[in-house]
Amino acid sequence: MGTDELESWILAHQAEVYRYVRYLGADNQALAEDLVQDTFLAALRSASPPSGDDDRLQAAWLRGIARNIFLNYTRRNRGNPVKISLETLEHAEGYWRDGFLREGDGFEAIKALRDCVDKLSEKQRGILNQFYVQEKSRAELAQLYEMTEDGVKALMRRIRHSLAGCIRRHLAVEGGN
Amino acid sequence: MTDSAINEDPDSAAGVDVTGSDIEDRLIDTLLRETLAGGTPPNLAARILRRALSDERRRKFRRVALQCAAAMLMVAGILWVLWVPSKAPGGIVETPTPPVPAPPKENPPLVPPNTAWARGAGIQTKDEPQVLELGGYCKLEAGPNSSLVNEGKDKAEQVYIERGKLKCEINRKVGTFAVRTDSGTVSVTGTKFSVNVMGDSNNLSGNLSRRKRLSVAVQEGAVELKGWATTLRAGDEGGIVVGSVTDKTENSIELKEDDSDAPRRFAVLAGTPAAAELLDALRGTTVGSRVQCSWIRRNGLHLGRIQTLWRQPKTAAGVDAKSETVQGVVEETGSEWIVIQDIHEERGGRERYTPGLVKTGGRMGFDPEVLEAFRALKVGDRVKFEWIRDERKRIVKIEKSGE
Repeated sequence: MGTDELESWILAHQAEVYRYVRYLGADNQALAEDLVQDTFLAALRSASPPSGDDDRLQAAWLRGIARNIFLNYTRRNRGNPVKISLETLEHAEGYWRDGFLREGDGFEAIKALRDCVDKLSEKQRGILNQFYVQEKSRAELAQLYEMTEDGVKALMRRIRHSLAGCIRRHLAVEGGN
Repeated sequence: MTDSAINEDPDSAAGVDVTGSDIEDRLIDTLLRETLAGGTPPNLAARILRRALSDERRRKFRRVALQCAAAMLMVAGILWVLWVPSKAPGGIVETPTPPVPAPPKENPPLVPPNTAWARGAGIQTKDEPQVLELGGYCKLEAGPNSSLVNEGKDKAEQVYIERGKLKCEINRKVGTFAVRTDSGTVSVTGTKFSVNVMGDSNNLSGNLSRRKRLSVAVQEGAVELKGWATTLRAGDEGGIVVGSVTDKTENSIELKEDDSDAPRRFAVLAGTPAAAELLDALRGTTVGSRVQCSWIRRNGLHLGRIQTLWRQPKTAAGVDAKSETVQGVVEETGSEWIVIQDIHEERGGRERYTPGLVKTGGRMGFDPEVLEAFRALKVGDRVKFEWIRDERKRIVKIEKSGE
Protein backbone atom coordinates (compact mmCIF):
# COMPACT_ATOMS: atom_id res chain seq x y z
CA MET A 1 0.00 0.00 0.00
CA GLY A 2 1.39 3.43 -0.93
CA THR A 3 1.35 6.34 1.53
CA ASP A 4 -1.72 7.93 -0.09
CA GLU A 5 -3.67 4.69 0.02
CA LEU A 6 -2.55 4.13 3.57
CA GLU A 7 -3.73 7.57 4.57
CA SER A 8 -7.12 7.04 2.90
CA TRP A 9 -7.43 3.74 4.71
CA ILE A 10 -6.64 5.31 8.09
CA LEU A 11 -9.05 8.18 7.41
CA ALA A 12 -11.77 5.71 6.56
CA HIS A 13 -11.50 3.81 9.84
CA GLN A 14 -9.96 6.07 12.48
CA ALA A 15 -13.20 7.71 13.65
CA GLU A 16 -14.81 4.39 14.45
CA VAL A 17 -11.71 3.04 16.19
CA TYR A 18 -11.47 6.23 18.28
CA ARG A 19 -15.15 6.10 19.24
CA TYR A 20 -14.75 2.40 19.99
CA VAL A 21 -11.81 2.75 22.40
CA ARG A 22 -13.63 5.56 24.20
CA TYR A 23 -16.59 3.19 24.50
CA LEU A 24 -14.40 0.39 25.85
CA GLY A 25 -13.12 2.64 28.60
CA ALA A 26 -10.38 4.98 27.37
CA ASP A 27 -11.68 7.77 29.54
CA ASN A 28 -9.55 10.62 28.29
CA GLN A 29 -8.71 11.92 24.85
CA ALA A 30 -4.93 11.46 25.11
CA LEU A 31 -5.27 7.80 26.06
CA ALA A 32 -7.81 7.19 23.31
CA GLU A 33 -5.50 8.80 20.75
CA ASP A 34 -2.59 6.62 21.89
CA LEU A 35 -4.70 3.48 21.67
CA VAL A 36 -5.94 4.40 18.17
CA GLN A 37 -2.38 4.96 16.98
CA ASP A 38 -1.21 1.67 18.51
CA THR A 39 -4.13 -0.11 16.87
CA PHE A 40 -3.24 1.11 13.39
CA LEU A 41 0.47 0.45 13.88
CA ALA A 42 -0.29 -3.12 15.00
CA ALA A 43 -2.61 -3.52 12.01
CA LEU A 44 0.11 -2.31 9.64
CA ARG A 45 2.55 -4.84 11.10
CA SER A 46 0.05 -7.69 10.82
CA ALA A 47 0.91 -10.53 8.47
CA SER A 48 -2.68 -11.45 7.69
CA PRO A 49 -4.98 -8.48 7.13
CA PRO A 50 -8.45 -9.17 5.76
CA SER A 51 -9.49 -8.40 2.18
CA GLY A 52 -9.06 -4.78 1.16
CA ASP A 53 -12.47 -4.71 -0.50
CA ASP A 54 -14.63 -5.41 2.50
CA ASP A 55 -14.79 -2.31 4.72
CA ARG A 56 -16.96 -3.96 7.35
CA LEU A 57 -14.58 -6.89 7.68
CA GLN A 58 -11.65 -4.50 7.98
CA ALA A 59 -13.46 -2.43 10.62
CA ALA A 60 -14.23 -5.58 12.64
CA TRP A 61 -10.60 -6.65 12.36
CA LEU A 62 -9.38 -3.25 13.57
CA ARG A 63 -11.82 -3.38 16.49
CA GLY A 64 -10.37 -6.79 17.41
CA ILE A 65 -6.87 -5.31 17.49
CA ALA A 66 -8.13 -2.32 19.49
CA ARG A 67 -9.73 -4.65 22.05
CA ASN A 68 -6.47 -6.56 22.55
CA ILE A 69 -4.49 -3.36 22.88
CA PHE A 70 -6.97 -1.94 25.36
CA LEU A 71 -6.94 -5.18 27.35
CA ASN A 72 -3.14 -5.15 27.49
CA TYR A 73 -3.25 -1.53 28.58
CA THR A 74 -5.61 -2.24 31.48
CA ARG A 75 -3.50 -5.23 32.57
CA ARG A 76 -0.27 -3.25 32.39
CA ASN A 77 -1.63 -0.29 34.33
CA ARG A 78 -2.67 -1.86 37.60
CA GLY A 79 -3.57 1.52 39.06
CA ASN A 80 -6.23 2.00 36.41
CA PRO A 81 -9.72 1.77 37.91
CA VAL A 82 -11.04 0.03 34.81
CA LYS A 83 -10.69 -3.73 35.22
CA ILE A 84 -11.94 -5.69 32.31
CA SER A 85 -11.86 -9.25 31.01
CA LEU A 86 -11.75 -10.65 27.52
CA GLU A 87 -15.30 -11.97 27.92
CA THR A 88 -16.58 -8.52 28.83
CA LEU A 89 -14.84 -7.02 25.83
CA GLU A 90 -16.40 -9.64 23.56
CA HIS A 91 -19.77 -8.80 25.08
CA ALA A 92 -19.12 -5.10 24.43
CA GLU A 93 -18.15 -5.88 20.84
CA GLY A 94 -21.40 -7.80 20.33
CA TYR A 95 -23.42 -4.80 21.50
CA TRP A 96 -21.37 -2.40 19.36
CA ARG A 97 -21.89 -4.55 16.27
CA ASP A 98 -25.55 -5.46 16.75
CA GLY A 99 -26.86 -2.58 18.85
CA PHE A 100 -24.92 0.35 17.43
CA LEU A 101 -23.55 -0.40 13.95
CA ARG A 102 -26.49 -2.59 12.85
CA GLU A 103 -24.79 -3.52 9.57
CA GLY A 104 -24.05 0.16 8.92
CA ASP A 105 -21.63 2.71 10.33
CA GLY A 106 -23.67 3.74 13.39
CA PHE A 107 -24.74 7.04 11.82
CA GLU A 108 -28.43 6.17 12.27
CA ALA A 109 -27.93 5.69 16.01
CA ILE A 110 -26.09 9.02 16.36
CA LYS A 111 -28.81 10.78 14.41
CA ALA A 112 -31.47 9.13 16.58
CA LEU A 113 -29.60 10.22 19.72
CA ARG A 114 -29.70 13.85 18.59
CA ASP A 115 -33.46 13.62 18.01
CA CYS A 116 -33.93 11.92 21.37
CA VAL A 117 -31.95 14.56 23.27
CA ASP A 118 -34.26 17.19 21.76
CA LYS A 119 -37.22 15.34 23.23
CA LEU A 120 -35.87 15.37 26.80
CA SER A 121 -37.32 17.70 29.41
CA GLU A 122 -35.70 21.07 29.97
CA LYS A 123 -34.24 19.93 33.31
CA GLN A 124 -32.79 16.73 31.81
CA ARG A 125 -31.23 18.62 28.92
CA GLY A 126 -29.81 21.14 31.39
CA ILE A 127 -28.15 18.42 33.45
CA LEU A 128 -26.65 16.77 30.36
CA ASN A 129 -25.44 20.15 29.15
CA GLN A 130 -23.76 20.97 32.46
CA PHE A 131 -22.14 17.58 32.75
CA TYR A 132 -21.01 16.95 29.17
CA VAL A 133 -20.57 20.46 27.77
CA GLN A 134 -19.64 22.57 30.80
CA GLU A 135 -17.83 19.58 32.33
CA LYS A 136 -19.22 20.17 35.82
CA SER A 137 -18.45 17.43 38.31
CA ARG A 138 -21.08 15.31 40.00
CA ALA A 139 -20.37 17.15 43.27
CA GLU A 140 -21.07 20.50 41.63
CA LEU A 141 -24.26 19.20 40.09
CA ALA A 142 -25.32 17.76 43.44
CA GLN A 143 -24.91 21.17 45.05
CA LEU A 144 -26.73 22.91 42.22
CA TYR A 145 -29.72 20.58 42.25
CA GLU A 146 -29.69 19.95 46.00
CA MET A 147 -29.13 16.24 45.60
CA THR A 148 -26.53 13.76 46.78
CA GLU A 149 -23.73 12.72 44.42
CA ASP A 150 -25.21 9.25 44.20
CA GLY A 151 -28.52 10.83 43.35
CA VAL A 152 -26.91 12.72 40.46
CA LYS A 153 -25.23 9.54 39.29
CA ALA A 154 -28.53 7.65 39.36
CA LEU A 155 -30.30 10.50 37.58
CA MET A 156 -27.69 10.61 34.82
CA ARG A 157 -28.03 6.88 34.42
CA ARG A 158 -31.81 7.15 34.18
CA ILE A 159 -31.51 9.84 31.50
CA ARG A 160 -29.11 7.71 29.48
CA HIS A 161 -31.39 4.71 29.92
CA SER A 162 -34.35 6.65 28.57
CA LEU A 163 -32.22 7.90 25.66
CA ALA A 164 -31.21 4.30 24.88
CA GLY A 165 -34.89 3.27 24.80
CA CYS A 166 -35.74 6.21 22.57
CA ILE A 167 -32.90 5.33 20.15
CA ARG A 168 -34.06 1.72 20.00
CA ARG A 169 -37.59 2.84 19.15
CA HIS A 170 -36.31 5.24 16.47
CA LEU A 171 -34.17 2.56 14.85
CA ALA A 172 -36.97 0.00 15.02
CA VAL A 173 -39.34 2.39 13.26
CA GLU A 174 -36.76 3.26 10.60
CA GLY A 175 -35.82 -0.40 10.18
CA GLY A 176 -39.51 -1.21 9.79
CA ASN A 177 -39.92 1.43 7.12
CA MET B 1 -14.05 12.11 33.68
CA THR B 2 -16.24 9.31 32.46
CA ASP B 3 -19.62 8.88 34.05
CA SER B 4 -19.90 5.19 33.33
CA ALA B 5 -17.48 2.40 32.59
CA ILE B 6 -17.59 -1.16 31.43
CA ASN B 7 -15.90 -2.00 34.64
CA GLU B 8 -15.30 -5.46 35.93
CA ASP B 9 -13.44 -5.21 39.16
CA PRO B 10 -13.22 -8.51 40.97
CA ASP B 11 -11.87 -6.71 44.06
CA SER B 12 -14.83 -4.42 44.38
CA ALA B 13 -17.62 -5.19 46.75
CA ALA B 14 -20.02 -5.46 43.88
CA GLY B 15 -17.85 -8.10 42.19
CA VAL B 16 -18.34 -8.88 38.54
CA ASP B 17 -21.36 -7.06 37.29
CA VAL B 18 -21.36 -6.50 33.60
CA THR B 19 -24.78 -6.52 32.08
CA GLY B 20 -26.25 -5.46 28.77
CA SER B 21 -27.50 -2.25 30.37
CA ASP B 22 -23.98 -1.35 31.62
CA ILE B 23 -22.68 -1.64 28.10
CA GLU B 24 -25.62 0.26 26.68
CA ASP B 25 -25.07 2.98 29.27
CA ARG B 26 -21.43 3.21 28.29
CA LEU B 27 -22.32 3.52 24.61
CA ILE B 28 -24.80 6.34 25.25
CA ASP B 29 -22.21 8.08 27.46
CA THR B 30 -19.64 7.89 24.64
CA LEU B 31 -22.09 9.17 22.04
CA LEU B 32 -23.28 12.02 24.28
CA ARG B 33 -19.70 13.06 24.82
CA GLU B 34 -19.25 13.20 21.06
CA THR B 35 -22.55 14.77 20.04
CA LEU B 36 -23.02 17.27 22.89
CA ALA B 37 -19.48 18.19 23.82
CA GLY B 38 -18.15 18.15 20.27
CA GLY B 39 -15.66 15.44 21.19
CA THR B 40 -15.40 14.38 17.58
CA PRO B 41 -12.69 11.88 16.72
CA PRO B 42 -9.43 13.71 15.90
CA ASN B 43 -7.54 13.18 12.66
CA LEU B 44 -4.58 10.99 13.60
CA ALA B 45 -3.58 9.87 10.10
CA ALA B 46 -0.46 12.05 9.91
CA ARG B 47 0.76 10.93 13.33
CA ILE B 48 0.15 7.26 12.54
CA LEU B 49 1.95 7.51 9.21
CA ARG B 50 4.89 9.28 10.85
CA ARG B 51 5.18 6.59 13.51
CA ALA B 52 4.80 3.82 10.94
CA LEU B 53 7.61 5.28 8.83
CA SER B 54 9.83 5.80 11.85
CA ASP B 55 9.16 2.20 12.99
CA GLU B 56 10.14 1.02 9.54
CA ARG B 57 13.36 3.09 9.63
CA ARG B 58 14.16 1.74 13.12
CA ARG B 59 13.61 -1.82 11.93
CA LYS B 60 15.88 -1.19 8.94
CA PHE B 61 18.53 0.33 11.21
CA ARG B 62 18.31 -2.65 13.59
CA ARG B 63 18.67 -5.03 10.65
CA VAL B 64 21.74 -3.18 9.35
CA ALA B 65 23.23 -3.03 12.88
CA LEU B 66 22.71 -6.76 13.31
CA GLN B 67 24.32 -7.41 9.93
CA CYS B 68 27.30 -5.24 10.91
CA ALA B 69 27.62 -7.04 14.26
CA ALA B 70 27.46 -10.40 12.51
CA ALA B 71 30.13 -9.29 10.02
CA MET B 72 32.38 -8.06 12.84
CA LEU B 73 31.96 -11.32 14.72
CA MET B 74 32.83 -13.23 11.58
CA VAL B 75 35.97 -11.13 11.03
CA ALA B 76 36.94 -11.62 14.69
CA GLY B 77 36.39 -15.36 14.30
CA ILE B 78 38.59 -15.52 11.20
CA LEU B 79 41.34 -13.51 12.92
CA TRP B 80 41.12 -15.83 15.92
CA VAL B 81 41.47 -18.92 13.74
CA LEU B 82 44.46 -17.39 11.96
CA TRP B 83 46.04 -16.22 15.23
CA VAL B 84 45.85 -19.50 17.18
CA PRO B 85 48.10 -21.67 14.95
CA SER B 86 50.61 -18.87 14.25
CA LYS B 87 51.18 -17.78 17.88
CA ALA B 88 50.67 -20.85 20.01
CA PRO B 89 53.47 -23.14 18.78
CA GLY B 90 56.20 -20.51 18.94
CA GLY B 91 55.40 -19.53 22.52
CA ILE B 92 56.34 -15.90 21.76
CA VAL B 93 53.42 -14.45 23.64
CA GLU B 94 53.74 -14.48 27.40
CA THR B 95 50.07 -14.53 28.14
CA PRO B 96 48.64 -18.01 28.51
CA THR B 97 47.52 -19.58 25.25
CA PRO B 98 43.76 -19.46 25.03
CA PRO B 99 42.14 -22.85 25.17
CA VAL B 100 41.39 -24.31 21.77
CA PRO B 101 37.63 -24.27 21.37
CA ALA B 102 35.96 -27.66 21.37
CA PRO B 103 34.97 -28.85 17.91
CA PRO B 104 31.38 -27.93 17.16
CA LYS B 105 28.81 -30.64 17.51
CA GLU B 106 27.11 -31.76 14.37
CA ASN B 107 23.90 -29.71 13.88
CA PRO B 108 23.56 -28.67 17.55
CA PRO B 109 19.90 -28.11 18.45
CA LEU B 110 19.01 -24.77 20.07
CA VAL B 111 17.12 -26.68 22.71
CA PRO B 112 18.45 -30.11 23.72
CA PRO B 113 16.05 -32.95 22.89
CA ASN B 114 13.56 -33.97 25.57
CA THR B 115 14.18 -30.88 27.71
CA ALA B 116 12.01 -27.93 28.73
CA TRP B 117 11.83 -25.06 26.30
CA ALA B 118 12.19 -21.47 27.59
CA ARG B 119 9.41 -18.93 27.04
CA GLY B 120 10.04 -16.71 24.05
CA ALA B 121 12.81 -18.96 22.76
CA GLY B 122 12.88 -19.92 19.11
CA ILE B 123 13.80 -23.23 17.58
CA GLN B 124 14.87 -23.98 14.04
CA THR B 125 15.27 -27.64 13.29
CA LYS B 126 17.60 -28.78 10.54
CA ASP B 127 17.49 -32.14 8.82
CA GLU B 128 16.36 -34.09 11.89
CA PRO B 129 13.12 -33.88 13.87
CA GLN B 130 13.43 -32.60 17.44
CA VAL B 131 11.46 -33.69 20.50
CA LEU B 132 10.31 -30.93 22.85
CA GLU B 133 8.34 -30.70 26.05
CA LEU B 134 6.17 -27.83 27.34
CA GLY B 135 4.64 -27.30 30.76
CA GLY B 136 4.88 -30.96 31.69
CA TYR B 137 1.79 -31.83 29.62
CA CYS B 138 2.64 -31.05 25.98
CA LYS B 139 4.86 -33.50 24.18
CA LEU B 140 5.88 -32.08 20.81
CA GLU B 141 7.92 -33.22 17.86
CA ALA B 142 9.07 -30.53 15.44
CA GLY B 143 9.64 -31.89 11.95
CA PRO B 144 12.81 -31.22 9.94
CA ASN B 145 13.32 -27.63 8.72
CA SER B 146 10.67 -26.25 11.06
CA SER B 147 10.75 -22.87 12.75
CA LEU B 148 8.92 -22.42 16.07
CA VAL B 149 8.64 -20.01 19.00
CA ASN B 150 7.41 -20.81 22.50
CA GLU B 151 4.90 -18.06 23.29
CA GLY B 152 2.76 -19.70 25.95
CA LYS B 153 2.44 -19.38 29.69
CA ASP B 154 1.81 -21.74 32.60
CA LYS B 155 -1.13 -24.04 31.93
CA ALA B 156 -1.83 -22.18 28.66
CA GLU B 157 0.98 -23.30 26.41
CA GLN B 158 1.15 -21.93 22.88
CA VAL B 159 3.58 -22.39 20.03
CA TYR B 160 3.95 -20.15 17.00
CA ILE B 161 5.00 -22.13 13.94
CA GLU B 162 6.36 -20.08 11.09
CA ARG B 163 6.98 -23.04 8.83
CA GLY B 164 7.34 -26.80 8.97
CA LYS B 165 5.57 -29.55 10.81
CA LEU B 166 4.68 -30.09 14.45
CA LYS B 167 3.26 -33.25 16.05
CA CYS B 168 1.55 -32.68 19.37
CA GLU B 169 0.42 -34.92 22.18
CA ILE B 170 -1.39 -33.04 24.92
CA ASN B 171 -2.77 -33.97 28.30
CA ARG B 172 -5.80 -31.70 28.37
CA LYS B 173 -6.49 -32.38 32.03
CA VAL B 174 -3.48 -30.24 32.95
CA GLY B 175 -3.86 -27.15 30.76
CA THR B 176 -4.72 -25.68 27.36
CA PHE B 177 -2.60 -25.71 24.25
CA ALA B 178 -2.73 -23.83 20.95
CA VAL B 179 -0.61 -23.66 17.81
CA ARG B 180 -0.58 -20.23 16.18
CA THR B 181 0.31 -19.83 12.49
CA ASP B 182 0.12 -16.92 10.07
CA SER B 183 -3.01 -18.51 8.61
CA GLY B 184 -4.85 -19.17 11.85
CA THR B 185 -4.67 -20.68 15.29
CA VAL B 186 -5.26 -24.32 16.08
CA SER B 187 -6.79 -24.55 19.52
CA VAL B 188 -6.69 -27.91 21.19
CA THR B 189 -9.71 -29.53 22.66
CA GLY B 190 -8.23 -32.96 22.05
CA THR B 191 -4.99 -34.73 22.59
CA LYS B 192 -2.96 -35.89 19.62
CA PHE B 193 -2.56 -34.10 16.30
CA SER B 194 -0.03 -32.67 13.84
CA VAL B 195 0.22 -29.27 12.17
CA ASN B 196 1.99 -28.48 8.90
CA VAL B 197 2.62 -24.92 7.64
CA MET B 198 3.60 -24.51 3.99
CA GLY B 199 4.17 -21.77 1.43
CA ASP B 200 4.75 -18.12 2.15
CA SER B 201 2.69 -15.07 3.01
CA ASN B 202 2.84 -11.31 2.51
CA ASN B 203 1.10 -8.16 3.68
CA LEU B 204 -0.52 -7.45 0.35
CA SER B 205 -4.23 -7.50 -0.18
CA GLY B 206 -6.09 -8.04 -3.42
CA ASN B 207 -5.06 -10.46 -6.11
CA LEU B 208 -1.38 -10.25 -5.11
CA SER B 209 -2.04 -11.51 -1.60
CA ARG B 210 -0.32 -14.68 -0.47
CA ARG B 211 -1.04 -16.62 2.70
CA LYS B 212 0.57 -19.73 4.11
CA ARG B 213 -1.23 -23.06 3.86
CA LEU B 214 -2.04 -24.86 7.06
CA SER B 215 -2.77 -28.55 7.27
CA VAL B 216 -3.85 -30.38 10.42
CA ALA B 217 -4.33 -34.10 11.04
CA VAL B 218 -6.02 -35.23 14.25
CA GLN B 219 -5.23 -38.64 15.69
CA GLU B 220 -7.09 -38.38 19.00
CA GLY B 221 -9.59 -35.92 20.48
CA ALA B 222 -10.42 -32.75 18.58
CA VAL B 223 -8.91 -29.40 17.60
CA GLU B 224 -10.49 -26.16 16.52
CA LEU B 225 -9.30 -23.81 13.77
CA LYS B 226 -9.90 -20.61 15.68
CA GLY B 227 -11.82 -17.96 13.80
CA TRP B 228 -12.70 -20.40 11.06
CA ALA B 229 -15.68 -22.11 12.74
CA THR B 230 -14.06 -25.44 11.95
CA THR B 231 -13.59 -28.29 14.40
CA LEU B 232 -11.58 -31.35 13.43
CA ARG B 233 -12.17 -34.61 15.26
CA ALA B 234 -10.13 -37.80 15.56
CA GLY B 235 -9.40 -39.18 12.12
CA ASP B 236 -10.12 -35.85 10.40
CA GLU B 237 -7.72 -33.99 8.23
CA GLY B 238 -8.26 -30.33 7.49
CA GLY B 239 -6.66 -26.94 7.28
CA ILE B 240 -6.63 -23.55 5.64
CA VAL B 241 -5.79 -22.99 1.98
CA VAL B 242 -5.48 -20.00 -0.30
CA GLY B 243 -5.99 -19.97 -4.03
CA SER B 244 -7.96 -18.82 -7.05
CA VAL B 245 -11.47 -19.99 -7.80
CA THR B 246 -11.42 -21.90 -11.09
CA ASP B 247 -15.03 -23.08 -11.06
CA LYS B 248 -18.06 -23.10 -8.83
CA THR B 249 -21.49 -24.64 -8.59
CA GLU B 250 -24.37 -23.87 -6.27
CA ASN B 251 -22.84 -25.92 -3.46
CA SER B 252 -19.17 -26.39 -4.30
CA ILE B 253 -16.11 -24.51 -5.32
CA GLU B 254 -13.02 -25.56 -7.26
CA LEU B 255 -9.82 -23.99 -6.07
CA LYS B 256 -6.38 -23.82 -7.67
CA GLU B 257 -4.20 -23.50 -4.60
CA ASP B 258 -0.96 -21.54 -4.59
CA ASP B 259 2.05 -23.80 -5.31
CA SER B 260 -0.22 -26.60 -6.45
CA ASP B 261 -0.80 -27.80 -10.01
CA ALA B 262 -4.16 -29.54 -9.81
CA PRO B 263 -7.28 -27.74 -8.59
CA ARG B 264 -9.33 -29.35 -5.81
CA ARG B 265 -13.08 -29.16 -5.33
CA PHE B 266 -14.53 -28.38 -1.90
CA ALA B 267 -18.23 -28.96 -1.25
CA VAL B 268 -20.62 -27.53 1.33
CA LEU B 269 -21.59 -30.22 3.81
CA ALA B 270 -25.40 -30.14 3.74
CA GLY B 271 -27.32 -30.11 7.00
CA THR B 272 -24.62 -28.38 9.08
CA PRO B 273 -25.31 -25.12 10.95
CA ALA B 274 -22.85 -23.28 8.69
CA ALA B 275 -24.33 -24.60 5.43
CA ALA B 276 -26.71 -21.69 4.79
CA GLU B 277 -23.98 -19.11 5.43
CA LEU B 278 -21.57 -20.98 3.17
CA LEU B 279 -24.06 -21.29 0.32
CA ASP B 280 -24.63 -17.57 0.63
CA ALA B 281 -20.86 -16.94 0.52
CA LEU B 282 -20.55 -19.15 -2.57
CA ARG B 283 -23.25 -17.15 -4.35
CA GLY B 284 -21.19 -14.00 -3.77
CA THR B 285 -17.93 -15.56 -4.99
CA THR B 286 -16.87 -15.21 -8.60
CA VAL B 287 -14.65 -17.36 -10.78
CA GLY B 288 -11.14 -15.88 -10.77
CA SER B 289 -11.42 -14.48 -7.24
CA ARG B 290 -8.76 -15.21 -4.66
CA VAL B 291 -10.11 -16.82 -1.53
CA GLN B 292 -8.85 -18.28 1.72
CA CYS B 293 -10.90 -21.10 3.18
CA SER B 294 -10.86 -23.72 5.87
CA TRP B 295 -11.62 -27.31 4.89
CA ILE B 296 -12.19 -30.75 6.33
CA ARG B 297 -11.67 -34.15 4.71
CA ARG B 298 -14.62 -36.22 5.91
CA ASN B 299 -16.03 -38.48 3.20
CA GLY B 300 -14.71 -36.02 0.66
CA LEU B 301 -13.42 -32.47 0.86
CA HIS B 302 -15.76 -30.04 2.61
CA LEU B 303 -15.70 -26.30 3.14
CA GLY B 304 -15.52 -24.94 6.70
CA ARG B 305 -15.58 -21.21 6.07
CA ILE B 306 -14.63 -19.03 3.10
CA GLN B 307 -13.13 -15.55 3.07
CA THR B 308 -12.61 -13.56 -0.13
CA LEU B 309 -9.17 -11.90 -0.39
CA TRP B 310 -9.81 -10.41 -3.80
CA ARG B 311 -12.98 -10.56 -5.81
CA GLN B 312 -12.89 -10.94 -9.58
CA PRO B 313 -15.40 -8.34 -10.77
CA LYS B 314 -18.56 -9.67 -12.26
CA THR B 315 -19.56 -8.59 -15.73
CA ALA B 316 -21.91 -5.62 -16.07
CA ALA B 317 -24.78 -8.11 -16.23
CA GLY B 318 -23.70 -9.53 -12.88
CA VAL B 319 -22.53 -12.82 -14.35
CA ASP B 320 -19.20 -14.47 -13.55
CA ALA B 321 -16.96 -13.83 -16.51
CA LYS B 322 -15.84 -16.99 -18.33
CA SER B 323 -12.46 -16.55 -19.84
CA GLU B 324 -10.72 -17.92 -22.91
CA THR B 325 -7.05 -17.88 -23.79
CA VAL B 326 -6.16 -17.18 -27.42
CA GLN B 327 -3.04 -16.62 -29.52
CA GLY B 328 -2.97 -14.00 -32.25
CA VAL B 329 -1.12 -11.27 -34.12
CA VAL B 330 -1.54 -7.55 -33.38
CA GLU B 331 -3.02 -5.74 -36.40
CA GLU B 332 -3.84 -2.28 -35.02
CA THR B 333 -3.26 -0.49 -31.72
CA GLY B 334 -4.90 2.50 -30.02
CA SER B 335 -4.43 4.13 -26.63
CA GLU B 336 -7.19 2.02 -25.09
CA TRP B 337 -7.90 -0.71 -27.60
CA ILE B 338 -6.19 -3.26 -29.78
CA VAL B 339 -7.12 -5.32 -32.86
CA ILE B 340 -5.84 -8.86 -32.95
CA GLN B 341 -6.07 -11.51 -35.63
CA ASP B 342 -6.65 -14.93 -34.08
CA ILE B 343 -4.12 -17.35 -35.52
CA HIS B 344 -6.74 -20.11 -35.44
CA GLU B 345 -9.17 -19.21 -38.23
CA GLU B 346 -11.93 -21.40 -36.89
CA ARG B 347 -12.13 -19.17 -33.82
CA GLY B 348 -13.47 -16.19 -35.73
CA GLY B 349 -10.57 -14.18 -37.09
CA ARG B 350 -10.12 -10.49 -36.36
CA GLU B 351 -11.42 -8.81 -33.19
CA ARG B 352 -11.17 -5.43 -31.46
CA TYR B 353 -10.57 -5.65 -27.71
CA THR B 354 -10.48 -3.19 -24.80
CA PRO B 355 -8.87 -3.89 -21.40
CA GLY B 356 -10.81 -5.58 -18.59
CA LEU B 357 -12.44 -3.40 -15.96
CA VAL B 358 -11.09 -3.16 -12.42
CA LYS B 359 -11.98 -1.05 -9.43
CA THR B 360 -9.22 1.39 -8.54
CA GLY B 361 -9.58 4.20 -6.04
CA GLY B 362 -13.27 3.38 -5.62
CA ARG B 363 -14.05 3.75 -9.35
CA MET B 364 -14.30 1.25 -12.17
CA GLY B 365 -11.84 1.76 -14.99
CA PHE B 366 -9.61 -0.05 -17.48
CA ASP B 367 -7.07 -2.36 -15.91
CA PRO B 368 -3.86 -0.24 -15.82
CA GLU B 369 -1.60 -3.28 -16.23
CA VAL B 370 -3.37 -4.32 -19.44
CA LEU B 371 -3.32 -0.73 -20.74
CA GLU B 372 0.43 -0.63 -20.16
CA ALA B 373 0.82 -3.95 -21.95
CA PHE B 374 -1.20 -2.58 -24.92
CA ARG B 375 1.14 0.41 -25.18
CA ALA B 376 4.20 -1.84 -25.29
CA LEU B 377 2.87 -3.82 -28.24
CA LYS B 378 3.53 -3.08 -31.91
CA VAL B 379 1.68 -4.10 -35.06
CA GLY B 380 2.89 -7.54 -36.08
CA ASP B 381 3.66 -8.71 -32.52
CA ARG B 382 2.52 -12.20 -31.77
CA VAL B 383 0.60 -12.34 -28.47
CA LYS B 384 -1.06 -14.74 -26.10
CA PHE B 385 -4.01 -13.25 -24.26
CA GLU B 386 -6.95 -14.07 -22.06
CA TRP B 387 -10.28 -12.36 -22.64
CA ILE B 388 -13.63 -12.28 -20.91
CA ARG B 389 -17.00 -11.18 -22.25
CA ASP B 390 -18.16 -8.27 -20.14
CA GLU B 391 -20.67 -6.57 -22.43
CA ARG B 392 -17.88 -6.80 -25.00
CA LYS B 393 -14.63 -8.69 -25.35
CA ARG B 394 -12.16 -7.42 -22.80
CA ILE B 395 -8.58 -8.55 -22.33
CA VAL B 396 -7.62 -9.35 -18.73
CA LYS B 397 -4.12 -10.64 -19.42
CA ILE B 398 -1.83 -10.27 -22.44
CA GLU B 399 1.79 -11.09 -23.15
CA LYS B 400 4.09 -11.44 -26.14
CA SER B 401 4.51 -15.01 -27.27
CA GLY B 402 7.32 -16.57 -29.30
CA GLU B 403 7.34 -16.86 -33.06
